[in-house]
Amino acid sequence: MKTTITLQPAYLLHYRAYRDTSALLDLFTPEYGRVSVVAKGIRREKSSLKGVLQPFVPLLISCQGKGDLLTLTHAESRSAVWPLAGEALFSGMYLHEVLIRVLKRMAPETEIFRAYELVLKALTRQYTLEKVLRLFEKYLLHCLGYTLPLYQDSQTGHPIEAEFLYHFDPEKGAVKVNISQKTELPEDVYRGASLLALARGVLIENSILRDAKRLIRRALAPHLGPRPLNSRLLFKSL
Amino acid sequence: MTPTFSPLIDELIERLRCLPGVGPKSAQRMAFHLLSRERDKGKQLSQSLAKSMEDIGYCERCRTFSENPLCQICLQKSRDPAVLCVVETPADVLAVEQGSHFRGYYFVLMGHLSPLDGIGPEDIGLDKLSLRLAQGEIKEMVLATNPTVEGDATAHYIANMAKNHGIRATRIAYGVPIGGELEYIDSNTLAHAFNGRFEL
Repeated sequence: MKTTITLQPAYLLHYRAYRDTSALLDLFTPEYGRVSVVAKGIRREKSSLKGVLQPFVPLLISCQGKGDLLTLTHAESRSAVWPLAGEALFSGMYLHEVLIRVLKRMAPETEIFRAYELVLKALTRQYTLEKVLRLFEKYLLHCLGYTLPLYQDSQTGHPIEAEFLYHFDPEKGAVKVNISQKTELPEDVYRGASLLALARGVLIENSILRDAKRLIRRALAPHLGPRPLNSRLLFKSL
Repeated sequence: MTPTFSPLIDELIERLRCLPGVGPKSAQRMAFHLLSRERDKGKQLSQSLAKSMEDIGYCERCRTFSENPLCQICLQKSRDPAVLCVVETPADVLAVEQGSHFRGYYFVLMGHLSPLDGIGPEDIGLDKLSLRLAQGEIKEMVLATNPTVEGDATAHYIANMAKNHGIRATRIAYGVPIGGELEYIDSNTLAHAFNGRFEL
């Protein structure tokens, strides 16, 4: 089946040199999800696309072909590159690694695309990186069909209360537990306050950010496959 | 490949194709050229290739290609030991040598950080670089990795290492190529050039 994609908004997720002057690109588009294309001749010295086909540049692309690997026929930038620097740059790379693992080829992901673009914008501002990433991950899970059940106790149906502790399973939800708050919490037990803060998207305190990270990491893990995320290891060693 | 000549010639043609930019047609031309006109030079080429592939390793200090423990540049005593230029490839060393007045020493990463391809700090020799920074001789590092996202990330990572050792880290500037016309510059480069504007 022949696919033709015309002037679709896109972002470059991954770039790999291919043959002498070409490259294989993984692009993220709203209507076709992840698209893999061959960009012929872009590594030539005179290629004008070199500076354009870079990560974090809002692109418009056209491509066509059969099967999974299409041929890029046109690319231009829609607007200026999101100027990510320093740690925000590493966060961006982390996002790309996550997206490459969760996005399906040729399946529309308009909402994730919009959220991704908002994250890039947020990463260029002076927001807390961790907060931006966690909220994106939460929304990503929602778009993938795994909305985190953060509002109520899944056994009793009572609303989550800030001062209690809950055992949280990403699929089954929260169940109140009675253990001392003073000792270090087990891996899958969270403070009610953290669950509520994550539900409302208000991640301010460091302790809440840490809980959110722990929770979302567990929830995201089944979607990322068995290999560890390289960018996570890199970020840690930074 | 359809066998058209003797197996040995076919093999030679096939082997030549490992070179960048060499397709079946050019490989065939090269093979016939060497066989018909340049036997001696062909022999020299094969000896040189065999010797190089066997003997050339990496410089212990800067990681560039070298058949000796230390490369020619690392052996030069006249250079400034306080400045270290970090580049991605040996070709970049030559480019900086020819195109600038830089007279410090180099460190060649032989790549850049790329989490998506599984290339981490140790794959580009940063453990080695860290040891070198700890010796205390270096006062400034010029980060001349490529102006790509991976190059920038690598530069940032190394700048962090430098900071931990109390060493000044500088990044080469971005901008419009000399003789270029703004109209034809891609918007990404132009955006960087504007961000990096300076006072006159």
